[in-house]
Amino acid sequence: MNARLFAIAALALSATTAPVFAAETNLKNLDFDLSKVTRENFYDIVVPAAKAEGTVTMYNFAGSFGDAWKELITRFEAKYGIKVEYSDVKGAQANQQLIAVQKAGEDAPVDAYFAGGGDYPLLSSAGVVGNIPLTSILPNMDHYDPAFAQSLFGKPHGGAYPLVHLNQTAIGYDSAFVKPEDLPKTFDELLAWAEKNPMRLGVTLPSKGGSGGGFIYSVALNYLTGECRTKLTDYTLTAEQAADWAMTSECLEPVWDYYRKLLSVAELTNGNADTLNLINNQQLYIGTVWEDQVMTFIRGKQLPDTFRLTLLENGQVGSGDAMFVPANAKHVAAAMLLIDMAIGKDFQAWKLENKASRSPRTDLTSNLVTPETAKYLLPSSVYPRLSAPAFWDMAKALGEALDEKVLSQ
Amino acid sequence: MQAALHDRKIQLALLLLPGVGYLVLFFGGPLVSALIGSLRLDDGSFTLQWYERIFTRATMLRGLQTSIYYGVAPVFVSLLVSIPLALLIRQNFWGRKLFNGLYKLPMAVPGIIVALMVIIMAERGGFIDRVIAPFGVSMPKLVRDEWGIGVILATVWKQIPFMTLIITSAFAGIPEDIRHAARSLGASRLNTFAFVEVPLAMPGITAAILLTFIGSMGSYAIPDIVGSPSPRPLSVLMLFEFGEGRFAQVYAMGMVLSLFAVVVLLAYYALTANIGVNRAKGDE
Amino acid sequence: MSELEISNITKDYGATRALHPVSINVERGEFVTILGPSGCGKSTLLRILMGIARPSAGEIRLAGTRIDPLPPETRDIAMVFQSYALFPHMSVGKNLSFGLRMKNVPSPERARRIEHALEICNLTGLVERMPRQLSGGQQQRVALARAIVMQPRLLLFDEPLSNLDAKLRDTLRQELVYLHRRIGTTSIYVTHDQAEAMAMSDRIVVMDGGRVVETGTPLDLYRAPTRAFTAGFLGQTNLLTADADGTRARLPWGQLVALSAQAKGIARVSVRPETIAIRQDDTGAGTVTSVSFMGANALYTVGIAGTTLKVSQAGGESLIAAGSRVSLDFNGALHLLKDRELPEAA
Ligand SMILES: Nc1ncnc2c1ncn2[C@@H]1O[C@H](COP(=O)(O)OP(=O)(O)OP(=O)(O)O)[C@@H](O)[C@H]1O
Ligand SMILES: [Mg+2]
Repeated sequence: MNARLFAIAALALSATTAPVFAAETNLKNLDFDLSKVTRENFYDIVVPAAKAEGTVTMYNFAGSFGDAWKELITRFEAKYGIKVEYSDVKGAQANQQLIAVQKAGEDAPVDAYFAGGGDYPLLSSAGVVGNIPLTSILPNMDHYDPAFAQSLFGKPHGGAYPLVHLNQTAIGYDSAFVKPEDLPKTFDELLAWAEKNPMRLGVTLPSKGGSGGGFIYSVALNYLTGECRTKLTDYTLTAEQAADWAMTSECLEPVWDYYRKLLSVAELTNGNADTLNLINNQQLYIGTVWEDQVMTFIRGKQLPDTFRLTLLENGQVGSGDAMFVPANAKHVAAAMLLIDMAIGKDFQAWKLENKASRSPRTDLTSNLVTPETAKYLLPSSVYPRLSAPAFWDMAKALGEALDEKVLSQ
Repeated sequence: MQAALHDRKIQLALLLLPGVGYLVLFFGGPLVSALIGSLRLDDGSFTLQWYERIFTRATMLRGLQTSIYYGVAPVFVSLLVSIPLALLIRQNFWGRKLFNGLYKLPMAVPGIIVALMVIIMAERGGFIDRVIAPFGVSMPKLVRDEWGIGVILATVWKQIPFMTLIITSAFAGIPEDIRHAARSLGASRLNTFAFVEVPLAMPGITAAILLTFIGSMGSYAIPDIVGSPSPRPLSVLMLFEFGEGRFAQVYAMGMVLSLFAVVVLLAYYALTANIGVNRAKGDE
Repeated sequence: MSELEISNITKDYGATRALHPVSINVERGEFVTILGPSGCGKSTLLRILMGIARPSAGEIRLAGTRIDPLPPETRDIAMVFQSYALFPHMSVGKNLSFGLRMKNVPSPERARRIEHALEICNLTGLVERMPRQLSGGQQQRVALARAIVMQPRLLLFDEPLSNLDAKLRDTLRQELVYLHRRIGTTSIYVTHDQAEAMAMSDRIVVMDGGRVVETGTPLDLYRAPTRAFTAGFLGQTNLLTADADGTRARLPWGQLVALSAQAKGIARVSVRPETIAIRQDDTGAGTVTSVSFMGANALYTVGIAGTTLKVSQAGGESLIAAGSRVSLDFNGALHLLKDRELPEAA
């Protein structure tokens, strides 16, 4: 009797927080009553179901994250005794595989998929993403950043596509060569610095690395105003519409102009790692970078310990990657449990310390990090203040238009 | 009678099946499916938009030019090295056996490794630069340079063995007596080489040119990593489009590159048909 | 001074010695054949003369000038190869003009010489043809024309006819002899075909195992070889051992014969089959073991005192049947050989 009352209460509660489509599940292989799960009864219902499933398959699209997931899996298997089958995949290929499987109505080869934040529109439109209001029912998501809880980069997902890792594009520099008073604080200052120090600034080609894609979108955010800016941040645009606009709009003239000037005095590089490598070779002093990749390079002694990060005024793109349960997953409960642990405070803190991987948890602050690590992270004076949300389809469109409008002219 | 004729037709078909079947299955099939794929929109309707993009976008057109450049330039440089090398290998010199084994090594090294080697060794501020810095000299810009010197050198390094191998056997295929005859008729070593050996080795040399050209035009690891970010050759752009999931565009670009290779191949056939050493040909 | 003086040429290929010291003199205008079995070093010698192989030791002089250190293109020697070695990418005309161009012969003279060479080699009308469009005989004529158009001091031929069929070989052989008579160029001709050597040469140099065995006119070498090898290589012969005393010798079966020179003790002789007369004789020492009728003559094998003799009888009206007893007559003096031992089977 009590239990029944509780269930009704829970249902009422979830109805208020979870979006409508949580009710009509698209999950094919549910072996427990998902609609009854709440943050409070989560472990009571999900842990037994997950143990019954026995295993869970996980995909990782980000090469640099292998060791982080190894850490998580060790903890997960020790705690629950559920075996994790782990695979590194190429994002584009795994996405296509899941889309094909979904079309054919077959079981998904993966239960918990760590996928690019920018892949949500593609995956959701193909119906691949399982409709589970994860941000509302996972106990460890009780301190989840509301900015990402229901939608991602402007696209609503109802909690089904939660980011578990945030990353930040940034300006990286070797403090041995760039004095604090010379450090650019705005995009204008960056251009001025590059003109004073020709070929010492590295800009990643947008189509070859996210640090470049983030940078071009940040440039656009900085220089576009009014209607142009509205269009730039219109997340309802499809990839094709964004591409059309980027290729034809007059709005972007300031961006092309900025790049024309910048690239006459800066080095265009072949990728995120290429930029960092040139800084390590002391050929470049400033470059466009990813905060978390910098940490990996620092740890691997591929960057000097004088290397530091900053963000330019008016903001630079921050992004993140999600872990979700595919609609046709076979081990839904175990997958949910794995995601719950991935977003847990312990693991998120470990990840920040070791990978400079930022967290969508609101209770995870930089002071949890050792001073040795903290000096390689973005200083709290600029982060998260100057972190602007990514719009990858638009960034890609801008990158391709850059090729066409500036580079090939 | 009729039945026998029929039987023979079937027999013929059966006999041809392995050869023709192989071609259709492993060459024609993929080609046709790529062609179809390149003419379709996502909803399956017919379109030429993917080709239109190739021939209207500046990035793509420069990509095509760059592909040709990255195909042609290394071949010329490789030829300049491979022909003397082929002649050297023919000579007897100390350590020839060892050299003969060693010079082929680059063939076994994948393009991506070559590219990474260039990045580590020949990048500005890289290994070589650090070694020579004390002497007050520094490396020229070989990586991401405008003229693709790094790409060309890396490609050359990789294709020289293959080219040398083919050219060596082309020269080895010339009967010794013919060389001796030229000498006995008053031709110096150099004249024998220029007027007798090179023309006779021409089919082999052109085959080597063709194969290395097509190979380096299609290679992507080296231009992707060592080459300039702009312009990028079609092969690298294809990889990018693949990553974007625009498979129809990838197919269309593949068709254009293949078509170009086929045109070059036909030109090659036309040219070599005129180099009258084709002994298989009957009297005219 | 001879036109060509080959003095003590040796050639080693690693540990194998292809030529032991070889010395040959050739007179101006002479047609000398080097005859020997396969592998005896004929080609090696020719290649050394041409300059496409280097001798290990020795000297070569052509018209008094030492040529062995010179590169082939400066030697004023032309060569016709067994494989023809025509340039497959050049027409007949181009093949012929190649050498003249290389030697910077001016164009009008070039044309004249080519025309002349084509004519004397029966090649008129084929100038435009490519080598692959020619028959074997035509190709060999082109190779010949290409050599003589150079008007060299010395012409070398390395078994030029061996790739042709028997009939064509005969025709071309006659053409060559005729040609030599016409142009008179000093020539060295290599062959392993004794008939060819005898039909063409002023002089034959017999070689074996990298050594010169014997030198002489075809007639001398045939009639009076001084070596068992020569006797055996130039036509058929019977090699016998006799017990000599002065100019007389006793054959193993007791028959007494005359010798061409003085000897004492064991003497080795060569007897041509056609110099033996055979006669049916029921008391004769020999027995006919086989008969083959060849038309113009009949060939017998006769067993006598444990040896087998070959006997050729010209124009016999009647044949002696196998199994008949016969006696043999040796006409004239037998030729004494210089060999210390005779080869096992001749
Ligand atoms: N390049 C070489 N290396 C080693 N040995 C060789 C070489 N050329 C020839 N010989 C050897 O030297 C010897 C003489 O060879 P050569 O070619 O002169 O013979 P030949 O008399 O011309 O025979 P044939 O009638 O078969 O042409 C042979 O034993 C041969 O094996
Ligand atoms: Mg020979």
